[in-house]
Amino acid sequence: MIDPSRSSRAAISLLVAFASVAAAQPVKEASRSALAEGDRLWRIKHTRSALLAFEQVAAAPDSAAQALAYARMGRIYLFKGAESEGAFPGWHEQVAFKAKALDAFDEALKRTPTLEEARVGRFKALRALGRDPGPEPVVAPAPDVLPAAQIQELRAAKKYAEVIEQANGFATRFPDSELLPPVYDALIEAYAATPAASVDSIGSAIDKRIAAQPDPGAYVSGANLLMNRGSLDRAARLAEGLVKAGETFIDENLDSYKLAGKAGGALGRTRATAADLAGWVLFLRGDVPGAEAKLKEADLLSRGQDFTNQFHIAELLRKKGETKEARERYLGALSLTAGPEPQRGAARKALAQIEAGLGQDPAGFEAWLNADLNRRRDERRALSLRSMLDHPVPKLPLMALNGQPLDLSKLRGKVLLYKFFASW
Amino acid sequence: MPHIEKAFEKYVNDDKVAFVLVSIDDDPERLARYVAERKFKMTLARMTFEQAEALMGVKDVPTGFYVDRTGVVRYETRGGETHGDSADRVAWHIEELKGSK
Repeated sequence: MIDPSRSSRAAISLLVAFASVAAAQPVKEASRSALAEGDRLWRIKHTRSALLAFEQVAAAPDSAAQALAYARMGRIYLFKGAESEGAFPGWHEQVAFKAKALDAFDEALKRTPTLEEARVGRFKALRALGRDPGPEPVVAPAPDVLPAAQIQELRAAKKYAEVIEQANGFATRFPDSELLPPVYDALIEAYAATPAASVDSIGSAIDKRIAAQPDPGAYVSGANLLMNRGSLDRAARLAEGLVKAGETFIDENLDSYKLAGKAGGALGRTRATAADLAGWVLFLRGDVPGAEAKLKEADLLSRGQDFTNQFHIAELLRKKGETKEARERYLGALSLTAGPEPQRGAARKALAQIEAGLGQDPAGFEAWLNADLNRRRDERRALSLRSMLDHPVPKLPLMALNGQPLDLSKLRGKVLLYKFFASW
Repeated sequence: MPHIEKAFEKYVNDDKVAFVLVSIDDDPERLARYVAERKFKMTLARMTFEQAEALMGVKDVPTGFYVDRTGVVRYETRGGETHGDSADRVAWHIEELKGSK
């Protein structure tokens, strides 16, 4: 027997269920592929293109898809505004994006009030803005979160055999995970620490890491690792790919570099590193003239401020028998603060040999070296204090030779060389 | 200075590039004699050493500033550089900035 009131209740609950399904489900096919493309671009941190993709979805007449697009835009804004400080070299948070993130999450929730990612995002945006976020939404963690965290724990504990097994399994299970880049980083570190690991497996892990997120650092560390393993061809390919990838990555995230000067500096550093890597591959292959050209190009691009490049030039000059110049470069490199300890140690050892060859007393070497490096650091500090690098030229009170004021505003917009000189 | 003049020859007819020689001489007559002797083709200007030091941090000559199209100093070369200052090197800096955004 059918109870009519019951059946109407059932009908209502069915209707409610249908309504909530209707709100969450019917993303049209066209929007779905556009959303997937935006997600892919976000995963590789091409944020400008990702935002463009989501903006297009948000402009299409598909309310459910709009909600998702706004939630994903909010995710990117939140990253730019509150999570990207130092995420990559030269990156800064843009605080204005925190409010933009909140707006985007609100737009998402207007369209789909139950959308979990937007509710979580809104909570985080409010917290980032220093406003009362209310109770934290309770959501089940995504299935990839825990395994990814476990891999990082194993990595920290240097249990590399387990890292290799787990990370490879993770990549198979979660091919679209946002957490793939750090998982691949752990895998690469594990391979690097495993002498039995084949160069092919290392190279393939590096390629996958780059595919997951093509930031310049992935190319540089990959090339260095492959060089250490003697795989010069693969290292050279990465060095070649670095410039293009670096340009794209910086261009896609320009606002994270905040100042145009920072983006310019980041581009210059990327090109310098690429030239240095390419030069060092040539050196290891025995092509000394080719290596010298590349390494000196890197020297110009890095304004002589890159430890590894100065060290490489020193090694090259020493091999050429230009001991005096090599000594200068070793000292210059060591007076820079950065640089991995193996290279710093190698530079100190080379210097000790050069000094011994010059007849210096080995007992006094350390004291002499420290005094010399301190002097160089003081000089560099004094120089940087009065440096104009990356600063705009102020208005200069120039005179013509006859003493009349000279207006050079017609030179604006040109590349200029100001050369200060004196006739004495 | 000969390197600069040699490098400048490449850019004499390039309207996107200019070289400005700024003298910090305190004696205009000696400067005039020097300039007459050297016959520079580049733009010539003067300012005092004190101004150059205060505004551009010039402590010594020669000091060079390579400025991009937006007016920002992108490279500087200070007097007594160890690695030389050849014409090729000058041109390298200019070409870098011509190519940059």
